[in-house]
Amino acid sequence: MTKKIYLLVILFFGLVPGMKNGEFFINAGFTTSAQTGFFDIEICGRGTTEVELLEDDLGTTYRTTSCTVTLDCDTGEETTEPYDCNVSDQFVSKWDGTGGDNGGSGGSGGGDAVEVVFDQNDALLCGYYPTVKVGNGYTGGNGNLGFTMTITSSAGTTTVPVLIGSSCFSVGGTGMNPALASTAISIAYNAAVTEVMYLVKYSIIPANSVSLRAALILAVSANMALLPGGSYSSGNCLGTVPKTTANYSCN
Amino acid sequence: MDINDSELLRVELTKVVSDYYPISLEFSNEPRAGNVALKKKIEQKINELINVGELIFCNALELEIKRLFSDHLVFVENYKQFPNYAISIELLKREFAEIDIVYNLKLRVSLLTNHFTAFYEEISFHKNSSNMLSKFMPVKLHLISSIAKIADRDGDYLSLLVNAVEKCLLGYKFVSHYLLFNTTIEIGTPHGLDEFTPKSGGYPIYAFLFDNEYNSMDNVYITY
Repeated sequence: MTKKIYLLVILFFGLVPGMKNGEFFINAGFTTSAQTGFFDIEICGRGTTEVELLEDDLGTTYRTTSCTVTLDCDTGEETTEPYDCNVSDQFVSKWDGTGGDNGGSGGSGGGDAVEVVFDQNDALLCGYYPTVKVGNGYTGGNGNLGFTMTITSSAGTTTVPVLIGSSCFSVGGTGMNPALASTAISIAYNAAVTEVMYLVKYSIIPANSVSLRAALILAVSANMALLPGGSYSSGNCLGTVPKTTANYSCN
Repeated sequence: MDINDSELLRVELTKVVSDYYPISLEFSNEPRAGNVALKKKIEQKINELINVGELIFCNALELEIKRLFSDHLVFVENYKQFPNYAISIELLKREFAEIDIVYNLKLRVSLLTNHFTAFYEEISFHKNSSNMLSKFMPVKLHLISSIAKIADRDGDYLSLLVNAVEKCLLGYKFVSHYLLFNTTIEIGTPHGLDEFTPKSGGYPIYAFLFDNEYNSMDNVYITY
C-alpha cells in the first residue's frame, strides 16, 4: 500500500549560473541555495515546490521534485510551465520502527549500516520562525531544538536524545526577507537531522548524545553558511531578538 | 613587523582573550565577568542596529568603503552575533561547470581590542562533490591570504581598506590575519561556538576576538 503525504511548500529562487536573466531554478533543498544563493544576484519572487513523503511496506522515501521555470522579474509570475523536472529521493528510512529499511541494514550490500529511526513528527521543524531586521540581516532564535533517535543494531535497540535547546540564526544578502529566513532555518535544521541519521547509520560518528549534538550543530551551521551571510550557533541570541519554541506538530 | 613585535602582539592579544574567556581553565564561559562584558557589547551592537538601523561608531567607515569600492558589492555584516564590525567586499566571482570561485576582501574590527584585520578570502564551491551523505551539498573551501592577484591585479585593495580604517577609527591598529590564524589557544571556546564539544587542538585567536565564522576550520586554508 502506498500513501502520499505532501509536506512542504517553499522556497528559494536564485539565478543559476548559465541561466538567462529571469530564468530560475526551484528546489526544496539547499542544493540550489548553495550553488546560487551565496551571493544572490537577483530574486524575483517566491513560488512553490513539493516534497513528498512516500510510505509503503519497505519504509519511507523523502522525495524532492525540482523544476526550472521562467519568472517575470517585475511581477514574479511564472511565464512558463515548470520544465526539466527532476525527482530525487533524499533518503530512505522508516519513521515508526515497523517494516524494513531500504538503507540495506543486515542485507548483503548493507555493510555495517545500522537501522536508525526518528519520529518525523517529533524531529523535523515546521512552522514559522520570526526574525528581526538587524542592519542588513535577519536574526531569530529558537528553543527546544532536538529529537530522539532510535538505533537498532545486532546488539539491540537504543534511544539517544539529541538536544541542542536554544539556538540563534542569522541570514543576510540581497533579497532576504523574514519568510525566507524562517524557511532557511527549517531546511537547514531538517537537512542536518537527516545527515546525522546517516552518520550514525554508517557508523561514522559514535552514537551518543554528546557526539550527535555536536554533529547536529555542525551540520546546521554548515547548511546555514551556504546562504548569504548565514550563520548559526547554539545558545540564545543577544539583543531584542524574537525567540520561538521549535514547532514539530505541524508535520 | 619584526619577530619581537609579533611576539609582543601575540602576548597582548592572548591577554585580551584571557580577559573575556576562561582560557587554560576548563570552565564554562558563562559565570565570568569578562563573558558578561562581552555579551553586553554584542547586545548593545545588535540593539543599536535594530533601533537605529546602523552603527554610529562605524557609519563613516561604511560610507568610505562603499565609496572606495563603488564598483563592487559591499556587504555590511554587522548583524553578526559577535563583538565585531564586519564588512565583506565581493571583488570577483567566476562560475564554471564544476566550480564557482568568489574572491572577497574582508574586514573584521574587534570590539574587544583596538585591533582590526583585513584579508582576501577565496571561496570555492566544488559542485561535483558533496560533503553530505544524505543529500547533495557542494564542498565549500576557504583560502585566506594577503594576496589575491586574480581579483586585485595591482595589489592595492588591501592597503586601501587598511588606510580607510585607520583614518576612520582612530587608535585602531592593523594586525595580520597570518598572526591571528596561526596563534592557537588550546583551551577555551570562542563566543557562539559550542562549549560542550570543544574543538580538539583549540581555536585561533581570530575566532575569539574577530569572528567565529570559520567554526570548524576544517575547510579553511591560511596562506601568507
